Amino acid sequence: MKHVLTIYSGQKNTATAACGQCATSCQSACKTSCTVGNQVCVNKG
Amino acid sequence: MTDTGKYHFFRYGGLNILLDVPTGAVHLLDDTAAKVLPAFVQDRDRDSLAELVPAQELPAAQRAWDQLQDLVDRGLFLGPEPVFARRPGGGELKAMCLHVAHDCDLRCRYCFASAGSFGGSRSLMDAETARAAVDFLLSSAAAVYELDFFGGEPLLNLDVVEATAAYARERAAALGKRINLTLTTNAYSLAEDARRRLLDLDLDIVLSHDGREAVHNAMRPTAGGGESYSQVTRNILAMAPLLEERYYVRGTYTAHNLDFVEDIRHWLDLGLKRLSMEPVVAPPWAAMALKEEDLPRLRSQYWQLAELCLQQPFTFFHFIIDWERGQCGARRAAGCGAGVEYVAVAPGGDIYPCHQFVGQRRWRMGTVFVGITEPALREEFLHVGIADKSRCRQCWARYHCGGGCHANAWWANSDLRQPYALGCELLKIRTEAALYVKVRQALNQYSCEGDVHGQA
Repeated sequence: MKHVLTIYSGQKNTATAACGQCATSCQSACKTSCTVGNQVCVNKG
Repeated sequence: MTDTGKYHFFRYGGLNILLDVPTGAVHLLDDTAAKVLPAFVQDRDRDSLAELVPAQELPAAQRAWDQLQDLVDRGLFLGPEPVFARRPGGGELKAMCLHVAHDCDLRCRYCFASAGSFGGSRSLMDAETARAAVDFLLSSAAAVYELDFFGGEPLLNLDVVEATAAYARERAAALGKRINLTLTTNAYSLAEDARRRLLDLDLDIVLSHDGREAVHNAMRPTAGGGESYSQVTRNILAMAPLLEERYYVRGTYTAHNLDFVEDIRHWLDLGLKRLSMEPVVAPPWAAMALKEEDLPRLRSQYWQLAELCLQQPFTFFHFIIDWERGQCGARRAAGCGAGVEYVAVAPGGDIYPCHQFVGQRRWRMGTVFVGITEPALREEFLHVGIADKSRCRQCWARYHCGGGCHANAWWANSDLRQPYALGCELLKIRTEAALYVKVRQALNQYSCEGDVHGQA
């Protein structure tokens, strides 16, 4: 019986270096409430 | 609810959700696994389960324990904290907020820009300064750029917006680079001619609006003190359909509309689908300021909003968590980018770390004509990632906020490394709600067998 279900394995998050081409957080819709979690990588399609 | 730097566990809507902080992995636990979890994370021996659960529950508890251990063995729970590069890609400048107008036709009561003037005289940027700003931006080694036309109200200087957009695209193409253009407007002057001109510029547009008529009018009066709702709403409803996916309607909620989900429902009733509603940041003595005692009510609002997102199709900006295309951990650890990858430029050409610091002499970094003359300021912002903030290092939400807004930290605590505490709490509430939406959507989309999203 399964007691634990992995919904998302998050494997991409652990890269220790990045290309640095992505948008900065504040160049987004909010302008007052910084979030990086909802930004998108420019190299992932 | 459990909150440590390595994982976060919370229950909502009948779901037990476990977030592994360093990897971002998300697991759903049944009630047995949720009961076992506290003992498991305290490094208790598996044999101790016999003391914790009744004998008839022991086999299930042991299975749940083994499945949690399997997550650990697969690197999806309680793993080491990665060591990230301080600034991905070397911290090249790649985004600019261009203040083409320090003037505004509205006098919004919460405006951080002192109703458009940023504490100085009302002024417009000239075309030469705007071109110099573009040249300064494109002189970095980045390959992809973002340029946002901002104010005040940028429509008050639309000729310069048009000329600068054309120049930026031409220069970027000549250099073999890519540039994306955005514009933030209060939409008060977004009449038919302005709409046509903006559409020709191929921009992403943020349209400011606060929701219900009474809420909007109370906070966003015209320069003459009149009501702006009718004109702004009419303009937005004419513009948004023409922009398809390339707009957000953005509002601010305050202590005067703690039931802000009603304002989001109002937008939905108007047919608007791409939405962002932000908490006001105001001095604690202001009547509109959000307070710690408002948090339970605001938490309830975000849960209502989560359920609303599951009931009907619309996009809420701060609930977006893109598991396929989201930014890498290194980027998340580096934070917002202000002062390093992102700057704001005032109408006279002065450079500041971001739009919220504009007009503050202490934060003036240089000018677009001579470049950065205060490199120490850039250095200061280079060292305000989550690794530099003691509170963030222990916070489960650190890879969702990147350490929070530097400007808010400064206004609240006069210290870039001390995050704005109320903002942190709201971010955590919002992130839980966003994760809940994602989990519900994943459960609806896939079967409940195995790893439902991505491979371990």
